[in-house]
Amino acid sequence: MEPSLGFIAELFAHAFSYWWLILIATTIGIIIGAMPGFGSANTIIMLLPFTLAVDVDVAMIFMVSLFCASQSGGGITSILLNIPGNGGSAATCLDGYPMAKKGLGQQALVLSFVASQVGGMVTAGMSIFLLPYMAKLAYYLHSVEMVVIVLFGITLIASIASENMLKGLIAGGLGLLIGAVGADHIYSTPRGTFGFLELYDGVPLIPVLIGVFAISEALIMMESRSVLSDEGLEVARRASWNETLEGIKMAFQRTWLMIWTAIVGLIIGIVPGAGASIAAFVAYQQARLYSKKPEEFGTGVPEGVIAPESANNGCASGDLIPLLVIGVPGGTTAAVMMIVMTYHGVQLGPRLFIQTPELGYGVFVTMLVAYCVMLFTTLPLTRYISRLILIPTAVLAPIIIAFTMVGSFAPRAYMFDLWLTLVFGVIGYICRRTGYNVVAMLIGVILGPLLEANVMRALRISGNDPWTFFSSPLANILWVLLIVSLLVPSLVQWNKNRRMRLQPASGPALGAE
Amino acid sequence: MSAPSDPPELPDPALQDQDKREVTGGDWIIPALGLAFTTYYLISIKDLVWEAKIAAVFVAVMLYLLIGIFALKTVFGLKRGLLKTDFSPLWETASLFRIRALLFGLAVASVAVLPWLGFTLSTFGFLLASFIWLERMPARTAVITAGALALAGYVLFIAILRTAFPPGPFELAVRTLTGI
Repeated sequence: MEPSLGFIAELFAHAFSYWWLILIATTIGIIIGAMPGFGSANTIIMLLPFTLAVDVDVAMIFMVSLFCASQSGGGITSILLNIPGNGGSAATCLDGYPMAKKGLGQQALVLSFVASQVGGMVTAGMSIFLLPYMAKLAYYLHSVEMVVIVLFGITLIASIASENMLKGLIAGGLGLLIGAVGADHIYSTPRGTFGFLELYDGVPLIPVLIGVFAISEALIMMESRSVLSDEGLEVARRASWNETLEGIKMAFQRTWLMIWTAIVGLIIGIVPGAGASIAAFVAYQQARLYSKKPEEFGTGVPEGVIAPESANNGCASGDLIPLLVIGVPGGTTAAVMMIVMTYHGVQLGPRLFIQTPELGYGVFVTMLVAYCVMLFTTLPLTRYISRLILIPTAVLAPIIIAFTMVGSFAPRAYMFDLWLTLVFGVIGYICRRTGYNVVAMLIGVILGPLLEANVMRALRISGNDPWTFFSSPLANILWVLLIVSLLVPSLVQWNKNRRMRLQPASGPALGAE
Repeated sequence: MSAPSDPPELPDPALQDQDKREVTGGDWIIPALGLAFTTYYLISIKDLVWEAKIAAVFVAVMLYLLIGIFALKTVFGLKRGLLKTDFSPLWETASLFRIRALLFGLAVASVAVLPWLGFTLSTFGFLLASFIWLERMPARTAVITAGALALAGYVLFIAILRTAFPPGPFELAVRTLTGI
């Protein structure tokens, strides 16, 4: 069914009539999104008694608003503390935290919120009209293509997030292997568990995230009295509403960047399992590629905050498209939503748009309204949230450790996960002090199970023929791109080193002239 | 200190060259851990059917290869004098190392006592000790700040979000008194 404008307007009116519910859900979502370990999926699960008791349209408004807000909230701790609230905001650390260190935390938060909300609105709006066509994209990506995409993702992250690509690849490879710990997907045989029953389900992601980011960052930040440089401290102390306005201006000067990186997120989000973390890194890499000053990325540039935030919110729409159109959830939160919708008797897939189109299209209209509401509620808060980094590190670091450890424990309620967090804290600290990128390691852990599941599926389907990985034209194109992405940075570095070696030799000669 | 009339000191060219060398040493730890873990992982899967281990074997081989390249680069770098061995970047200065060790030790202790003291008291103890020893906060301020934070944590994580921490004396007392 093609939606008419009148029909969409009715849906808008309906969603706006629940503004108070959207306000509550987005507030919870922002808080939850900023806390590592308390993702939107967990929160929706905890609030199931509410979502199962109310009408399905009210439940969807609540869940969708909370989901969108949690994507936006993830950037807060990435920017202020270098600790991503979720995997999707890991890329935001790369430029968000350096901005905060320069005393531009308030502007970075505004950039993050505006990019999130504009990106979310653009993709939600696009999804309404392109829904039936975009869902077909998921059909072209099978397990073979997914294997190459995962490997491509690791290579990409190793090359863009690390100063030393080799170290980035080692961190990413180690992450992939850590992600392969636990029972295998077909025979359920435990592998690499060190005999711990708690690792049979695999290495839990949240303790890794909190360990390598939060604990290690808390240890690192003790090197100075403040997170901010002396200059940054002065700038942050003088911050006023003007900084919020400046952030808004900076964001809208890059409107086109917000739009196209959101579309990148939307497309990646449609692929089931690909997720916001890949979307954010791809968008970051693309933004750097097309930038006039790519060398400034990683030092605290607005583009480095806008691209990942816009993409991970674009991905939120993409996550829901396969759920609604083909009944396959694109991510964990979408899977929880699927359970709620099925409980309410909603039939997902093409029938949804024939039987209850107001529900199918209503999801994206609610997204639009939720992002609109957030634009007005989050921006005034940036001035106050950004003051968090004025707290001395000797006070801030213990608070970070105490409260993020709760996130490690919450999902599974195992004491083991707290010890695991501390172990990964030490690993993260060593990585940071010795130039191994923790982001590459984290993404490896996220993608490890995805790689394994797809390798096994591809082999099963092909009757254990290893040539199956080179059997599709799309996969072959991706293999070529993967090899090129591995070779080009190495060749560029080799050339740079060669020139540097030649320079000192020519220096005195020039001087003598 | 040189007198004002002394000629300006020129940097020793040999020392200048030394400063340009990149540091290595601490960066062997992650490849060493990677090597050990990969070997252990491969041993743990040796009896499985090949379908259940193919992806991991692929990653393991890739990791061996990368670590091998890293080792070769390091050996050549050391031989050519482009690298120097120094482990000090891991801990920077002795005083900073002590501060970090203290913070980490307190975190380990708070996790160790959590099953008996519960979330609120172990968090309170951890924050209080950190504020007093790391920030040199006055005892009264430290008690009030740590107490307020631990209590806020209790309300948010246990009373509202129902995180299932092992209950300690504080949680049990509140439960007995209020039924929460």
